[in-house]
Amino acid sequence: MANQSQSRSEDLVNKLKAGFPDAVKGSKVEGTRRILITFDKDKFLELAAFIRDELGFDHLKGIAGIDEPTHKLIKVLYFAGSFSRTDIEDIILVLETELDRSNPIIASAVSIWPSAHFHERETFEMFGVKFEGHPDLRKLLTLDNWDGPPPMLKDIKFPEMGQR
Amino acid sequence: MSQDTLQDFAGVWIGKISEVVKSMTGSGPVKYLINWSRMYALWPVHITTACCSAEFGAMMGPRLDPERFGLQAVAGGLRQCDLLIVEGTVTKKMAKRLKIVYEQMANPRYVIAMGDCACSGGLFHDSYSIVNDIHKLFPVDVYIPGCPPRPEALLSAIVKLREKIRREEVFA
Repeated sequence: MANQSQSRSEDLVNKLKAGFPDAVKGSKVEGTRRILITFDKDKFLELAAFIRDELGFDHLKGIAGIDEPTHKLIKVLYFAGSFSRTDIEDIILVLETELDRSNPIIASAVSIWPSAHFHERETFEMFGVKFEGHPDLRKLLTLDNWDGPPPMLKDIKFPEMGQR
Repeated sequence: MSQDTLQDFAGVWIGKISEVVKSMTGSGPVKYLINWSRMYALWPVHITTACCSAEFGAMMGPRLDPERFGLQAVAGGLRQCDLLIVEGTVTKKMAKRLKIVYEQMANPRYVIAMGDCACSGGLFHDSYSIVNDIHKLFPVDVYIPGCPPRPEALLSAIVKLREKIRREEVFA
């Protein structure tokens, strides 16, 4: 059974690599139910459409941001899953990309996966990542009168709260 | 009898009645009776600001049975409640709502700050979105530390609050 799951994940990775030999930079089967794909952000929309239509990952479970000030990077992670295909419904496909920290811009995935709407708004608010083509990119969770910087960046400090 | 005389007449009598009530409730059996009835009818407001509400739920169960100490069931009507238990972290957004809830409650009203976060910010004391000192929103009667406090600790806070109510002045 374990070997079957392993080969199932590797099949997905091989399909993706065959479709996008340039955009897919790296891949790792992290477990029986988790695949990590590192990709180039320029081909994101084509890659996402391929993953949705050909591989069957029909929804986005979440978007995460990781701030790495020492490498001057902001990583954005997309977590895709499937409801419609029962053979891959337990797999989470993680798409990871690296953005320039001084100007983080990536295409919006709302046209591919509508559930990206709120996730992208949250990542925009917390990390300052701009999603080009998002229909309504406003802040989501912070205070109504919040005008400070993105609070999840590592070098942002709040001295009034005692942070040093 | 003209309007003014009527008002004077009523004013004198209302003044006298309030004096009588004050003298009666200052000490002795009336004060005891009023405080006794208050401390045996604490109606809690159940407002879940964070995860401590799980411990609140455990405390309300039959194992500890807080109704022995006069803590009534969670009813839901704010205007009849008189005990606000702040269950966990208070964010700046939630603080506004918490203040509204407090202002809707009937007098006399009491507040218990439950958990490290409600007492002093706790784990999130330096976060940008947390209110560290809820005593600036409303007066707090009992603080319970712990992350989260055990149900027994919450029960002992209820007992402490009852002690406080038993000794307090009725029309202070």
